[in-house]
Amino acid sequence: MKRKLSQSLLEETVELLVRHFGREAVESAIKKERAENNDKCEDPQAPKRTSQKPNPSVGSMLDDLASRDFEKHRLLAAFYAQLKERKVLVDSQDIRFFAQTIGMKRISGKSREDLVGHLMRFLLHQPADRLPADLKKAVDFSEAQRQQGFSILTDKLLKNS
Amino acid sequence: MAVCVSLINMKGGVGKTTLATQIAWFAARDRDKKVLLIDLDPQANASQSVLSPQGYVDYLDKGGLTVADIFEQFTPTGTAAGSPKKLDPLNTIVHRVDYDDGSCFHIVPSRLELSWTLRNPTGKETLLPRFVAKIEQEYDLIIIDCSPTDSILTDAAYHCSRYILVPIRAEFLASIGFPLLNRSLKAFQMRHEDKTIEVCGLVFNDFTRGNVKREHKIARSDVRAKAAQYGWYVFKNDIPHSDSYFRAARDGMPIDGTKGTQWKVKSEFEAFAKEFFDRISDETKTVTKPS
Repeated sequence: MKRKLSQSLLEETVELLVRHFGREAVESAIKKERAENNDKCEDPQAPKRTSQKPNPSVGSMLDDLASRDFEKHRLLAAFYAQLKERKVLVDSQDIRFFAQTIGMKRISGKSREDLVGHLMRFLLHQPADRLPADLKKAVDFSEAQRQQGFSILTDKLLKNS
Repeated sequence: MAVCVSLINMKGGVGKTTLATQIAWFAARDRDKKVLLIDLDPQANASQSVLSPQGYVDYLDKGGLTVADIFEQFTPTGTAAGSPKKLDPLNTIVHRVDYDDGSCFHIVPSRLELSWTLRNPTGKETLLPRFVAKIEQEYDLIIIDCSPTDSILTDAAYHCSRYILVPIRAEFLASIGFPLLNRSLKAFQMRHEDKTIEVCGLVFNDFTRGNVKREHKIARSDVRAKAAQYGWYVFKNDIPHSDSYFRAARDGMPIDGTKGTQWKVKSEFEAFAKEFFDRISDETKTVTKPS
């Protein structure tokens, strides 16, 4: 019953959005949202998922990596520890900036924990030779650094004028 | 070969830089394009935004080359980076981001010293197109962010460009720069008959949603009348004001990756961007030349 109600409510909402913004805009938004969330939305026709997690955890992926590429594992495990202890990329926005810089087109997630998970999965698939340079950039991303950057730029422009 | 689009309006503060950077992000992230943004404004705001203020200062302090060096490479004295030397075009390009699928967002930064070019401009308008000719095979889209004055720099942009995009604000004197732009384009085309350059459209930018004031309506209607007179297309999708654009510019981020950006703002920009790509990708479409 609950499922039927929410289904009809959902259909009404979509209909309203289509009327307001047009079918193309709504379909494009849904498509984009699905891509961003790795298609988290469940298809009602699709077989129900089991409670088993579809993806292995970052921890287990790192463990698997240890036997295949020790150096890459060492770098990423250290970085993951720093992330968890909030020693780098303290705010969610810092993670988004960093992700954009190292070539992640999109990073989804509301909580910092979600973002860290997505970031680590991306890094685990990157070539090992790129990692040292990419990870080094992480320390540059903080609100304090950004504020300091504006001050430095202003000083530079004033000095040159 | 890349399509080159210049953002030009002889009126300042209309959102050229914001639009140029956001189109570049959209092209690279949503359309998987290889994009190069050339900052052709001595104020260098696009460079400061895309590279971040700290990144930009570090780049200059390290002696990084800029668009000023492209214009001043053969000047015997007073070049931005010291004495004249043969310039490798690739050395002026900064890789903001390279994606795994081959798409990218690169920038040729600017600096204040670009204004020196305006003091001694003779023969320099061909240096930028020569640079573009050397690197254009590496890109799908080249965007040039121009300064709001008609100068040697504008001429250089015309030489490189297939299309001109004109951002406008619906405000008093909104269309004041149109006759100047039209005359400037016409003069250029008379001097270079072999060159095809077209206005791909005018886009209303940075206006308050709803509750449209009388002055804004007058400005819009004035702009539309002038656009019709010159045969210029006006984009159907506007870009209303949002503080998120300021945040995106401050943080050097795409609008849809900027914290707190509403879905409506993202979809409005996306609708404009799609229309923009329709305009520039269909070469058979009739885009009107200046009258």
